[in-house]
Amino acid sequence: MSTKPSLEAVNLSKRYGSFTALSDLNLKIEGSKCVGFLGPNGAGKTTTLKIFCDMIRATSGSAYLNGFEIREDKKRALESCGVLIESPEIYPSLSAREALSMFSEIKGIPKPERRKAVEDAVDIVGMIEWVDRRFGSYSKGMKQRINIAAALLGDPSILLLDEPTSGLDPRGMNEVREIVKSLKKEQKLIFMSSHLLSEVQDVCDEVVMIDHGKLLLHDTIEKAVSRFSANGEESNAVFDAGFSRPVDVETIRSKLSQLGSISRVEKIDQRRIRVTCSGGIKMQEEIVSLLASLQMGLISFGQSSSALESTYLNLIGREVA
Amino acid sequence: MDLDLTGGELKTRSAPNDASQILCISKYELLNYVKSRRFAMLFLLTLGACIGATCVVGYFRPSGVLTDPASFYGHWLAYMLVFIVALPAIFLGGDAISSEFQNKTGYSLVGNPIKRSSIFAGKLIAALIASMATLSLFEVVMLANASFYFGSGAFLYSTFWVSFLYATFAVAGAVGLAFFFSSIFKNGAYSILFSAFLLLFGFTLLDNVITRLTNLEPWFMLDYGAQIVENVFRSPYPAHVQTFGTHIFYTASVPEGLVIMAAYFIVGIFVSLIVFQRREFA
Repeated sequence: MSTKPSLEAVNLSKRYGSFTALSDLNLKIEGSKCVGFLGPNGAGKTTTLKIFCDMIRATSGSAYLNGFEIREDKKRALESCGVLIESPEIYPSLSAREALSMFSEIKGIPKPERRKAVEDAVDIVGMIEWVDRRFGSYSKGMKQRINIAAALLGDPSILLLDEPTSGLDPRGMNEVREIVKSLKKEQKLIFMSSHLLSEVQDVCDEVVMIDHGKLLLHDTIEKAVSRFSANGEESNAVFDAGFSRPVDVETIRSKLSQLGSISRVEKIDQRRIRVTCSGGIKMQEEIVSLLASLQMGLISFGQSSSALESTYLNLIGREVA
Repeated sequence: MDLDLTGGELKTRSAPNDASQILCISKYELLNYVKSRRFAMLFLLTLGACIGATCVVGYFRPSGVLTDPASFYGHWLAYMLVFIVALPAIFLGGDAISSEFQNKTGYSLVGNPIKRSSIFAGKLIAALIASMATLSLFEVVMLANASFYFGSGAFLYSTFWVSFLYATFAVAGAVGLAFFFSSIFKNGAYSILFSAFLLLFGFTLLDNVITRLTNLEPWFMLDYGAQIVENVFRSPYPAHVQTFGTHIFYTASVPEGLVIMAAYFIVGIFVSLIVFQRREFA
């Protein structure tokens, strides 16, 4: 058995009558990383996550967490897992401290460590001041923070998060993203569904895309974006460059065209441009060098926030067609 | 397509055994009850009914009731037993399972390293303990009244304790029925409504209709079996079959009553456990 956190779906299918929610999904993710799980509404994201935590039963196939099949040995499969599915509720009369103590006890956190484990988890989500208030009195965003704290209890090696920023205000969303980013450093496997492509691009190392219950893509974000560009041509990548002062896009276009692999240079606004190119890391180095040499005040260069969106739409579009 | 990324050694912590997890669920479910308005209302209703009965008996001093402890207990139970058995079952068991799905509380529990059967058992134990606490309040008030009118002999009257034991069977049977309804309905309001209707009125109504129209023994009715709780105070114990003109009246024997109440508990719990284990949080 692997010593790394792992998640595996083998021919996983789920049918509701004649509707197929998940169709022979095969997926293997191993090691500490953050994987974004993308797909349109009804694609099968939540269905997949629910099968992995025994909320629903697969029609066929198997779901393994850390090498244990969820139906055959649920306790072993989930004992090193933190789960957040569909903004759950906790018994409304219990305080967050009581509810999290219950989850700690269920997870097997020893009694002497329980109080600290609860307070640490609540502190991470910024709810320590509210920990003794009744769960029923919390706002939606506060409840979601406590739910995230519940998932973090016991230092799980795998986190299954279904739209963890759902219901949060922009500040809360940002905080959750920062939490997830910090968890990436703690040797965890984070499998996170989201509708927010920018969130996945910002937080995740890899992306899994599904539609109509079928796996479309599983790759690093960089490779996924470069393989499926906005115009549908494979091996193109899109980058945004920012400048400290207004720039002349025509000048930049004429200079960049000398590099050969540049297929498009667009103006986003007075201080930003978007470059579509091929050639991988080497080409990126050359673009940055050239832009810097122009002394136009280059201050940022990175993968376009719309790149993953383009990839997503491209893939989903292909699937629909 | 698998990617070979390294790092992240697996840390493991074993979840406690099933018994510990069941106790944990029971403990926090009970805590949730104790802190909830619903449980406070149940306790106040029970207390109110007991105080009401105490005042009525104390003011009117009905001679038929105050003849001896047996007569006192028998009458007290005859008027209030249905209420006392039904209320905790309705309040605590009525939506015990359905609320886990409807209110999404199950979503936070099921994703943990705990078997669904352990969650179910924990909830059941908590509902039974809370129901028995309500029943005990009722019995204590009854006993206090009896000791006021009959002295310490009321405590030593062994039939009281036998009746108390039978009453726990009746409460367990009612909880089993409420769990059954709470598992077959997805909506908590419906399951509470059905449990309340059957336990408060339905059984009595059906019992009368079936017996009067068909002369059949209503052995499948919970309230028929629960008669033993008050009948045990009658001496001699009523005959199993009594005929008045064209009507036949049945009285459950003690073993029959116990079997009926136990069957309601066992069947109700068994069915609701199966449903809870199989139902999806879709």
